Amino acid sequence: MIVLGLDTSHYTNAVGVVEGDKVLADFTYEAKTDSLEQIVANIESTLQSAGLTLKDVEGIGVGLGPGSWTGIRVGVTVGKILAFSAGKPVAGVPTLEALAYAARNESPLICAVIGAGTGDAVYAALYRPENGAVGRISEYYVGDVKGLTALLTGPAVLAGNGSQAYAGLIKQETGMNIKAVEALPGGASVACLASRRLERGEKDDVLSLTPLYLKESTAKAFVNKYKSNHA
Amino acid sequence: MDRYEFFSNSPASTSALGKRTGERLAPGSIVALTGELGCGKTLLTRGICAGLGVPLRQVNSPTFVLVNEYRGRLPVFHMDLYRLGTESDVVELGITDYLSRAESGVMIIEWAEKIPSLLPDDLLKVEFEILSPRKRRIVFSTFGGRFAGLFEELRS
Amino acid sequence: MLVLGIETSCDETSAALVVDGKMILSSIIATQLDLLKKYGGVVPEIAARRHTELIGYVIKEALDTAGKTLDDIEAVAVTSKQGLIGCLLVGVAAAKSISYSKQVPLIGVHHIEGHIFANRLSHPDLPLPHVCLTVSGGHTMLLYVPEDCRYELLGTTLDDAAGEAFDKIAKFLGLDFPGGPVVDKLSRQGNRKAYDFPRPMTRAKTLDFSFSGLKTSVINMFKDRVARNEALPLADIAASFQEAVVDVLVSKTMRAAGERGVTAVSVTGGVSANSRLRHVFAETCKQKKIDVFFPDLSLCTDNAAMIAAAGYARMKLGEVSGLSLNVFPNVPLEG
Repeated sequence: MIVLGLDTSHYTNAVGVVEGDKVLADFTYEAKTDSLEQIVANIESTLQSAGLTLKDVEGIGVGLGPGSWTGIRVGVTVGKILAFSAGKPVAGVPTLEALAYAARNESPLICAVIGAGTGDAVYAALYRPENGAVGRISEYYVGDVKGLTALLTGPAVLAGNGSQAYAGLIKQETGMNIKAVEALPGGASVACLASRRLERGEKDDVLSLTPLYLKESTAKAFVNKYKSNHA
Repeated sequence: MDRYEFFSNSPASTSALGKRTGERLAPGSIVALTGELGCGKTLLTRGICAGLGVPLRQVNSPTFVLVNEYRGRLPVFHMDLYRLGTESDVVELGITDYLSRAESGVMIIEWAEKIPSLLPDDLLKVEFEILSPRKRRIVFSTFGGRFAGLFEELRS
Repeated sequence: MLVLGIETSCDETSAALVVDGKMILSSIIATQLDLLKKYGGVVPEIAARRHTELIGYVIKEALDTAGKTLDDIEAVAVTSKQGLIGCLLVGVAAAKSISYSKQVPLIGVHHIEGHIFANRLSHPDLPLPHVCLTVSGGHTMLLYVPEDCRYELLGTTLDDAAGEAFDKIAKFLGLDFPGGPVVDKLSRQGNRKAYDFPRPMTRAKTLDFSFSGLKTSVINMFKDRVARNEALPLADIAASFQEAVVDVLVSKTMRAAGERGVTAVSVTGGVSANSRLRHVFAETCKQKKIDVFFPDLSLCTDNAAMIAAAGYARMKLGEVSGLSLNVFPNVPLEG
C-alpha cells in the first residue's frame, strides 16, 4: 500500500511516501510561518520525486503532535480532508511514536521527547522496539526535563529535537549520563507507522481526527515552570 | 523589582504615557495590562502603538478576534484575553506559538490577569486602578533589567 | 456553477453550497446545527481547536443537505483574510486540500467582503452604487460600493466595534451572552429616552466611529447609581444604550449616503439583526426616499454562504488564488 505521511508539529513540513516498509521519498521542509502556504507544493514535490501523483496514494498518515498547535492543526486538517476528498483511509500517529520509531535501532529503550513551548518543559514517553516498529510502555509525561529521569526504567536513548540539550541538563541536574539522538519527526516514519495500522484495517474516522492534546498536564507543566522561577 | 506610578487625569494623558512607552520598547517586549472594563487598557495600547509607529487606523479592540497583528517599526501583537476562560484554554489557543513569533516584536496583552502563571517575569506589567470617571492610577512594574531604559525615561 | 464556501475566521465553523453566487443549496453553521447530538462528543470552547474538530463535519453536512458530493464542486471559496490566524488556517487548510485533490479553483476571500455579499444573497437586485454599513462584534465599517468588488473605506471604528460594545455592556449589566440579542429583547420593554447617553463623534466631520466612550459612560452612570443606592432599571438602561448606538450608526450612514448621492443603503453583519436598528433605518430611509437592505437573519452572523457568493464574484473577475494561498489576519479590504 502506498502511504503518504505528514507531520507539521515542529515548524517544518515533514512529508514522506512509503510502500509497506520501503521508503520511496522523505523530505523535511523549513516552515516557520508558512507551513500552510507551502504544504501542497511540498506534498507535490515529495510525490514527484518518487514518480508518483496524489492519485497513486492509497492511504494517508498524519502526525498528531504534540508540538506547535498551530502547525499541527494545518497537518491534521490537510491530512484528513485530503483523505476525505480522495476517499482514502487515514491513520493518525502520535509524533512521539514517530520519533521513537526513527530511533528504534539505537537502543532497547527509547525516550522520545518534544519541547513544550518556551523553557524546559517537555512532552515525553518511553518506547520499546517491537515487531519492526515501537510500542509505548509508559504514560505520556509532561513536565520539566530533569523529572524525565523518573520515567526511565533502564538505560535509554533520548530521541527528539533538542535532545542533546536536554541530555546535558539531565547530566547537570542528576548526574545521569544519557545518550541523545537529535532528530526532527520524519514524514516517512509517520507513513510507515500509519501504513502498519492501515494494513491491519485500523483506520481513524476521517471526520473526527484531531491533534493529540495532552490537556490537563499541559497547563500544569507551564504553571510548574513558572512557579520554579518565582521560588 | 522596578516600579513606577503614574496618575492620569484624562484619556489624553493615558495616551501620551502610552506613546512615551512605545517609543522605548525593544524587540521581545511583552506588556501585560490588567484592570477592569473601561479603565483605559485599549487607550494605552493605542498610545503604545503610536509610539511604535503603527498607523492608528489599524489599531482597535481585538476582543472578538483575540489577537490583532500590526506593523510599526516592529511587528506588534495585540492580544485580548477578555473572552477566554481558563489558562488551559489559552495554552491550547497557541499562546506559546504567539510568544515565539513575538520575539522579533512587541506583544501587548489586555486582561493579562487571566494567565498569571503563563508569562515570564521580565515582562512589563501595567496595572490600572479607576479613581474617578476620568482619573486613573497606572502602575508599571517589572523584574530584571529589560525595561530599565524605559523606567529611567519615565522618571525623568 | 456550484461553489463550496468555507468560513472559520473567528467563532463559527461553517460550510455552504451556493449555485452561481445566488442560490443557497445548503448553509451549515456548526453552533446552530446540533452536530453534537448527531455525531456525539463534546465540542471544546477554544475556537481554533473547535474548528479542527468540526470542519470535516460541516463540509459533509453541507454536501449531504444539498444532495451533492465533492465531485460536483466546481470551485472552493474560503475566508483567508481578516480573523484569528489559528482559526483561518483550519478553513484554508481544508479548502486547499479539496481544491488540490479535486483540481478545482481556490479563491481566498476577505471576511468583510463576505458580509457585503450576504446582502446580495438575500437581495439579488441590490443596486450599485450603494453605501454599506458592516457592523458586528469584530467590525464596524462604512464603505462606498460603486461596483462589484470595488470598495472605498469611508469610516471605521477607532476603538470598540458596535457589537463588542453590546456584548461588554450586556456582560457588565449581568445579562446573558451573546449580548446583542439579549439587549435587543430587553430594550423592547424599556424606555429608550430614560438616559441621554452621548452619541460619540456624531458632530465630528469624520465618518469614523468610536464606542468606548459610550461604554464608559454607561459604566460610570451605573456605578454612580450603585454608589448612591439608586434604582437600576436594566430595561431602561439597555434601551437607552441601544438607542445611542443606533443613532450613531444611522446618522453616520445617512450622512455618507447623502455625501455620495446614492439611493441605496446596505446594512450587514451580526448587529444588522438588531430590530431597533432595522426599524430606525427603515423609517429614516423612507423619509429620505432611499432604499435600505438587510440580509435574511440567518445570513447576518458569520456564515459560509456569503463567502461562497463573494468568491464566485471574484472568480468571475478572474481572481483565483492558487494552492499557495496563505492567511492574513489583519489586512484591509481591497478593491
